[in-house]
Amino acid sequence: MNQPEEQIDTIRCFIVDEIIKDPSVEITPDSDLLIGGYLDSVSVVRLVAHLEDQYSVKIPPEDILIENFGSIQSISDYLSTRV
Amino acid sequence: MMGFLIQSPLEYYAQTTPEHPALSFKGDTLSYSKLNMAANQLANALLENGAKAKANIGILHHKNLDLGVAIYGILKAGCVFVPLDPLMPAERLNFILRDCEVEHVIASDVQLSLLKQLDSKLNIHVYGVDAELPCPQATWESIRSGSTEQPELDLIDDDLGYIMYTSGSTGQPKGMMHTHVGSITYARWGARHVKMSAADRVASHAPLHFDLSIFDFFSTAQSGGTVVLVPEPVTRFPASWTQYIEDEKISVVFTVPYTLISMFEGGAMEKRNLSSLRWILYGGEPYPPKLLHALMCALPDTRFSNVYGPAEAPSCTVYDLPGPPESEEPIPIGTVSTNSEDIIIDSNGKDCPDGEPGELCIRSTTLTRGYWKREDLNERAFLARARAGVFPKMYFKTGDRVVRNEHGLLVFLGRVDRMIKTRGHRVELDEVEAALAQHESVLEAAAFTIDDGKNSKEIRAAVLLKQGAVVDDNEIVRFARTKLPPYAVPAHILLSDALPRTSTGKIDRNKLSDS
Repeated sequence: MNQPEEQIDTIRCFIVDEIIKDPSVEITPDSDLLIGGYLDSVSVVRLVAHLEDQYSVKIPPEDILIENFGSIQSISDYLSTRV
Repeated sequence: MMGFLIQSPLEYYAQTTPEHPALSFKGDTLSYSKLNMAANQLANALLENGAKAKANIGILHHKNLDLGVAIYGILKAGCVFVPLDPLMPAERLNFILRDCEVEHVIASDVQLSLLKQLDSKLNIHVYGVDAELPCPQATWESIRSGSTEQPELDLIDDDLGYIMYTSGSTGQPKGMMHTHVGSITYARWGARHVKMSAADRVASHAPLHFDLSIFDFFSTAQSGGTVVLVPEPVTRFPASWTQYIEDEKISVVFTVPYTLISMFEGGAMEKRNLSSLRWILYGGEPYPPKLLHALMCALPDTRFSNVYGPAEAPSCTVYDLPGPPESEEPIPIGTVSTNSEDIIIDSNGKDCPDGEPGELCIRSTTLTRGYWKREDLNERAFLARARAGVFPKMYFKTGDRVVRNEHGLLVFLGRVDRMIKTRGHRVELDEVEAALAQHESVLEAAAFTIDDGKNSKEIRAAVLLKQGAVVDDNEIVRFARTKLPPYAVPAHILLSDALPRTSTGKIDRNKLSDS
């Protein structure tokens, strides 16, 4: 598994296990995390803290935008610009 | 002259400033004239499909221009709009539709999975969805091919305009009935208070089922201004929200402290030009003075008002901040607005002496006419009190404890019951417990709140399982999601063998909150 795929999988696991808390929910890298109501304002904060920790990056507030967090793919794309 | 119905300002400005934008969404606009015509088309479609005058019509809609068409289309058919939370579980939606006798719903395509779970026995007629549903439906295309003539109306200002559902302590949501005259009075008050003009661009930030939206839509319409609809996801990303304020040149915002605190902490405000923002109103929860001080210093040219009012009695008091708060004293909720009167009563229903804390009771033109089909609640929530020897007047018992300070300003002290606010949403903890107790493995449930570290409260619950039951906490969270709106679902559920008890055997919820 190459780096981005592994990253996508790790992010998906965190979202499914820690935020959605329902293993039966299927999300693909391109699923819209916002329409499903999966990511509310509190879980956005938790997700950011997790990503900062996991990938040793600092995510500045101005980057926590819909376009960077709308799907697992966009989160991964954004992270690749930070490391 | 402007008429006396909620939709009257729309019809007035459709004549006087037809090209001025009434609604704006992601750069698209709908002028007063176009909104008026589109709403007439929807009204005609509703009537042609059998909606009766004064019928309750649901709106299950995310933010976009069609949301405005839905609101006004329903009103122009002489009907009553019922905002429905697009994120609520199907069971709750079906309950409200049944309870409110709704037969027609204006929806948008994004609610497909929810729409597919509509109870077929209700035989709901759905408007505005292109995808095929197992129920009668009308698409926007067919609606927009209809007549743009305003249907004839036979309404008085005391007729209902909208019914808004909120958390109920008995485990089921309850609907508050609001009249045209009440809504118009509130809208006029709001427009006058913030000196609104046609140049204003007012954010519609709260979802429609949240009563702040009544200010957003109808106070703006009073002055012929523009409602800027904020896409729902934007509200979850503080930096996207400040970007939206800058891009859309939003001038007035009415929201909850949680949003403003998040905006200050994570909105990258120093990187944005927020000079368009001339007035911020907040309500729903107390604002920690230190944090409000910081925000007001960051926005020195913006005026701030603390608006207090339960959804039953919108905007019943207001306090305009004279400057950034300098002490840690709670910020007053101020004095009652025009068209309102207040009394403070003790637990026996007697007037409190000056300076003594008690329950705030309000009478006002803006007051709800009561809860839909809930005479039991109406008896408890209202207080009849004759004033100056005339007929008894109804006061709404807010359930909020207040005291009048030495400057004559009301200060909020807390609740007299178990209703709580979480990030501005009103939740009855009894309803959360009733939902959890429906799970087959749960013997007893206790909901409580803890400080969420974000200046609001997080809902948690402890449950006592039936003997021999095997279930994990996430399963109970998932179960709760099928019963409760997302904001009322406990963030954590603790499975317990024994719940702490008071000496009388009741669950000791204070102990749970502290542990």
